[in-house]
Amino acid sequence: MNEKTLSSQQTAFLLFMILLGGSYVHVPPTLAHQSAWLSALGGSLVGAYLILVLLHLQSLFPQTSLIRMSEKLLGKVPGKIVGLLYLWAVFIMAISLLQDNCIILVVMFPLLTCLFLRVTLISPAVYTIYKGVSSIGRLGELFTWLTLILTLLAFIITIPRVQPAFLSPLGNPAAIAKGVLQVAGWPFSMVGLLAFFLPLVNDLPDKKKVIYWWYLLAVVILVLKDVLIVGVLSPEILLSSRYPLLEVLRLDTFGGFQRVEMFFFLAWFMMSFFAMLAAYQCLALGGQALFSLSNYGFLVIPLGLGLVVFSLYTFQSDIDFVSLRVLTLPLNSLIPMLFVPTLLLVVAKFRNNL
Amino acid sequence: MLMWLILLVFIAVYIKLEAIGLYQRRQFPEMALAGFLWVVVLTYAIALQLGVYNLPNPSKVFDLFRPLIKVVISG
Repeated sequence: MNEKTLSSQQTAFLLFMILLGGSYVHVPPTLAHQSAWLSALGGSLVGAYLILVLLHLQSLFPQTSLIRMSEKLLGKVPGKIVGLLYLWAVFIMAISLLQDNCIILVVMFPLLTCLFLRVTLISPAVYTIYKGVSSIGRLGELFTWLTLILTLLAFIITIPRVQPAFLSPLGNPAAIAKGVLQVAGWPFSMVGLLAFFLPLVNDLPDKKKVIYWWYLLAVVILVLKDVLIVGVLSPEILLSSRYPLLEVLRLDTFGGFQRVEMFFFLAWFMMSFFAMLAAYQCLALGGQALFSLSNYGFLVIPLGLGLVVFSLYTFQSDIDFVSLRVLTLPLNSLIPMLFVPTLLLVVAKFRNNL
Repeated sequence: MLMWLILLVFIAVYIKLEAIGLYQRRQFPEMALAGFLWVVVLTYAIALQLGVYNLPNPSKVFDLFRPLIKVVISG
């Protein structure tokens, strides 16, 4: 296979891993309290809308990146400004995901410094991105099934501890709406990363349905995850929990074995690393499209080091990061991710009608 | 110390993998872009190492959303 192309199946795996990876280290929509799982269901509509718009744009401008589309539709300078806005959202996602990965690794390896951990995470990412987009596609194929099996296993052993009383939705529509906004911002706005991968898919017109199916599976898993977390921990404990999924899994025991959660750490780490890798790859592809470059190779290392440095400089403490994580970061990524594709679709439709 | 070492390794790898090739192929616009990126990244890396935190910070952009967030959270 060409090193610069992906198949629809690989893109679907990519989407699946990005969504799960982006959400596993985060708390469920805490603003929705007891109705967190219901909000996750509502927020998934935003992701579905984004897929629909991006696929439609791709059918109008086959194998054209979103930034090139915006230059074609809006003109060179406004198009680049809109493209930069979109890349800003990707940049925020990438540094947030790197921060998340690092925070969870600090829990596991408390004696290693944040700088060392970040560089350890970025170095394999640099190598993968150097190898070409299809490497990420193949990595997705390798990771997805293992992740799926481990995730389902984790769910199966956790289900008996769910208390249905914790799951009855509160009748407060405002709380549910806040939760929908929160979860739409993170992880569902991450669907916007597809904009950089779709132009590289070689069999998109024939097999795009597979992307919808894997999105649906990711939504089911995310909602199930929220059901388990709220149902096991209770909404009150959830509010004060930094890593609710880890706490839920920590309660699991298997025969005489304890610390069963470490077994699932593998899946957890693969997903969150993959999401960070995908956002980093999108930054490189976005830079290539923005500056009309023939390849992005020379951007990879400075971008990687930039992610390390900016994630340390932007999030100077974990406490700040947690407070930003609730709504500020989701809105920062949601607004450009929704606005840019919608604007381009409206302009494209308007021009077609003229 | 670790930061200096990391910068040194990244720069050395970059020169070996990319910079020499860019120069040999006379890709000057690409060299300018890469140079700009390196200047930004190295400035922030050195500021981080020296404990200088008053450079423009991406987190300031997040403040633009604060009024909206206050409305959402209190609404």
